[in-house]
Amino acid sequence: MNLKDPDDRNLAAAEYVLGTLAGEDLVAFELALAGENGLRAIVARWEHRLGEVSAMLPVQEPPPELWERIDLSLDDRPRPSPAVGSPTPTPRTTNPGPGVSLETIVAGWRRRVAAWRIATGVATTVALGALAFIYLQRPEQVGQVTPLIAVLKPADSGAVWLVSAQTGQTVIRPISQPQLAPGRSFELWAVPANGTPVSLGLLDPQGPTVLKLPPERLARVAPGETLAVSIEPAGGSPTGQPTGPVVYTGRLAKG
Amino acid sequence: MSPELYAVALRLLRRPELAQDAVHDAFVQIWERAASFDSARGSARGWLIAIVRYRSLDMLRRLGRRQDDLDVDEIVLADPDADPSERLGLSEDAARLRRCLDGLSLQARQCILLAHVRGYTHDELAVRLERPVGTVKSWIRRGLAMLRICLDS
Repeated sequence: MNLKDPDDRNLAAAEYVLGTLAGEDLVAFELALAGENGLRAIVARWEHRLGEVSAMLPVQEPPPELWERIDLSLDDRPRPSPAVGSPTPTPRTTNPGPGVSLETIVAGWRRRVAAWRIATGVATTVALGALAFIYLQRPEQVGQVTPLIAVLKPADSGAVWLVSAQTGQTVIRPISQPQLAPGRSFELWAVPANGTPVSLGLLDPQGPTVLKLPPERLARVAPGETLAVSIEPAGGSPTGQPTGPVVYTGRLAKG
Repeated sequence: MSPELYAVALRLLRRPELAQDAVHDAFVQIWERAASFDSARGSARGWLIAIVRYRSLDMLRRLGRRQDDLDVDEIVLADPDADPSERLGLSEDAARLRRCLDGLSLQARQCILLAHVRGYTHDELAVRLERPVGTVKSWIRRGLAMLRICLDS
């Protein structure tokens, strides 16, 4: 394996993604990957190419308790710092013991967020970041789930959202810290082919948002349609259509 | 997406409790690394699947593999050209990958799929296909090189 040679480099990246790179070659490749951005792009390209293999194989619904476990672990972690100057809430320092209820954990988390809000004040514009990330599933007939996924990119700044859905509800978490002027709200929109946005609800920039999306509303969000987040007056758009700047957009793709 | 991610981990690790660990760990990583994702370089789908696969492959390497895990049946992919209902469900990217895989030699296709879907190493492939490791390696490299040409054309 000679990582200086373009063809060898590309094949090494392919084998890295495939999982067959091993031993010294794997170590050398991972070192090169950590230090060199050009290689990262080649790897991402192969991840995209080979990722479609699983689209041709059966899916398997994970047990519901897996989501609870993931939720608890994420609550338990500090948010990754978004970018320059943006504050990060104090991470939880102790793990909840087995006797601690979910309500206690959530309450503790909310208290920390509230304290953080007071301590830092509220910023005036949408925060720094790279992209917004939406992860949706929509329940369909007979317990079948058609997952939807979209990457929402901001016009000039941004934050990262992670959205997951269990039966009947969709939970959206901000990952980095999107900031909002006082008296403003983030509103999530589906923009269908006819161009008339349909509101999906308001997003809380400080913590998880639970959207209870009626099936008929969610049914209008089809693969290939656009999702957008706009800044609206507190409580949402007064007109039922976006009135403020659209800060993130992305297209939905079938997951 | 999560049923697809869970299925990916389950096919690699074969045991539900391990697959759940892999998906759990992958989501924590996704949470931590989401800001580094660059959609200009690849799809979010590909990125998510890759994170679950890397985590699962790490676990496979660490835990070792049960011998009976190697005794698996053929990997049957949905055929985009056969059944209209299946074709509707497959993205254009998946359909193209399928056609490009079909253009490879049987050995190269088998090796690439077993490595991708079941996490086979070069050595495990050599045992399973009763061929020298060097032969398996060159099948894979040739297959991946052809796949790249086909997918990028």
